[in-house]
Amino acid sequence: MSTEDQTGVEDLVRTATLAGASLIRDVRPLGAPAPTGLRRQPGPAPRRWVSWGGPLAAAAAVVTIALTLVAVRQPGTPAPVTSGTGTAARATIPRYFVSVTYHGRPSRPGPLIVGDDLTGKVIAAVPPPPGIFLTDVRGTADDRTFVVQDAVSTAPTRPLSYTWYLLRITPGSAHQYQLTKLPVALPGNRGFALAYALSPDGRELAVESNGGTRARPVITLGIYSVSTGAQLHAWTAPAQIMSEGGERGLSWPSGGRQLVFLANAGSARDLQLRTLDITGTGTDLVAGSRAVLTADNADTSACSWPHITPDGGTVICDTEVGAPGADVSTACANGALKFIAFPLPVQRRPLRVLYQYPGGCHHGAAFTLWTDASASSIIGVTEIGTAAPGVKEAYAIGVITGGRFRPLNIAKSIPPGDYAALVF
Amino acid sequence: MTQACQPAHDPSQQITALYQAHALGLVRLAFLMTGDQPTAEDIVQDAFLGLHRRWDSLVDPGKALSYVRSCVLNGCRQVHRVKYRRPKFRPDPPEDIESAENIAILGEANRAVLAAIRRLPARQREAVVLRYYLDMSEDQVAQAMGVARGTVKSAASRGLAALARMLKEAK
Repeated sequence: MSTEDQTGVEDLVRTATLAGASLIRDVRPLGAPAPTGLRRQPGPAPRRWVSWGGPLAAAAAVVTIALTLVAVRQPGTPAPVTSGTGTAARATIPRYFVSVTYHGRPSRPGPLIVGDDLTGKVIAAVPPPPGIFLTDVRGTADDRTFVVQDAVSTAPTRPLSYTWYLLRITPGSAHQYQLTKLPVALPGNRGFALAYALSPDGRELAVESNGGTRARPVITLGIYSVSTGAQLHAWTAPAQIMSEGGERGLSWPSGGRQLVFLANAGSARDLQLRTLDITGTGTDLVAGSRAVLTADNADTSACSWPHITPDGGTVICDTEVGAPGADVSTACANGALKFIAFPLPVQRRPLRVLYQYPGGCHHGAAFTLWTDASASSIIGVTEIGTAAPGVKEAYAIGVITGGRFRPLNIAKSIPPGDYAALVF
Repeated sequence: MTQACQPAHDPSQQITALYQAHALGLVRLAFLMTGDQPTAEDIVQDAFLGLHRRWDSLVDPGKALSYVRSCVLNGCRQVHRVKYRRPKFRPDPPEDIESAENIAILGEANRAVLAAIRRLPARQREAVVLRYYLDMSEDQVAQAMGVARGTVKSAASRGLAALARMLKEAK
């Protein structure tokens, strides 16, 4: 390219980017969890079936939670609910799911949507308590119990305060849900919660958070009693291993003896799945854990995101191929978009390909939302993009069993673009 | 860095001030990279949340903007992963950037250039946008991208050549 040509292109780029940038005229406020973007606003009295409350209610709630969780959880025996009208395969699939509708905008604290994938209907909309933003939800071993997190700034000088709630749904009853505040808090209400998971027996909540001092930033993985809020055990590690795994970066397999968390590995910040034996007495998160799989950050077609199965014996790897804007039109050729299951310890070859997307695409992503004990059946989402300008990605959510993808009956009120945030 | 972001102030106030001063510019930058405003806003929000998480470990708070800008660039590269790993920050349904108003504002020629920029490989796209949209020096671009100056030079040069080729083919 001649100097004259280069100057011409430079001018074209300057002009076009300035014009393109001028399309953005304002941005939304810094959303939760944010330093000052969220303020608790006075609101109406709490709903009858939402327990926020006073000391007496809290004490009663704690007792109820403990009894309820123990009753609904049996270690090592995940208990999906039988649909009653479906096939045998259907009986292993969770029927109910929860969707967070909060999109990070302080002016719009949306409800939790509870849906039924058998009927395709929304069965409840759980409103957030006044001034509260329910920002995330995690599933547990059954499809009627969920853990919900809120993260709010209570004052400009208090950056963040976390609270966790137990959401129990009882479809068909007079009261379709019960939301109960857990007495768990990060020590000193300091730190930033990264991930959380309920123990298989429902007695404990594990929370990964960052904190420490400026001189020694650390991440802490703590286990808390859901009945008393007491911290029962904690492990720490240098903050450098903190991954961007988000709230789904921590799992508590059904055996109850280990936690599985995501960490950064090496200078390339590859994603590493590590298991921590929680029966030991140590407090070093790195020394007490071992890597079971490392996903190359530069090769998302091999493993973009690892999930461990409840039995702790298999890792499911999602994949991503191509990228929006990339000058490639054959990303999905030869079944490149797939869900893969690796045995533990990971061997050189994958145990099995759970599902291969058979069509073509310009870019695509596969994401696992739920798995049974050993990845015999999973619920997954595929996102398929084309190179055609202006054409949005196509989302599909379905049950994957025996290499087949069977679409799930999701309520039409849940936008397909939100499928990846559903929790079963 | 604005005066409001001096270390003597409360971190929350500093981050808020930083957001108020620079969010629009950073969203514009991310928009040029991704072509989607809600996604661009999510990336910037994530970057500031990351800053909040790491504030205590930030050796020099004066470099907070550089840190956030690097996070935004990384977020643009990882836009798919970010979308899935942080599902709570899902964007609202994207607004149609090809609206009649936008088409009128941009004009056909600018739309073609922007579309071509988005087709560049990530590194070339970053080098071109930082160099010619933000008018950064090669050293500044190198610092923002975390690469050597020579890499910036070659990436920008290749990016411009690729753009010239694409625009020529489009005619």
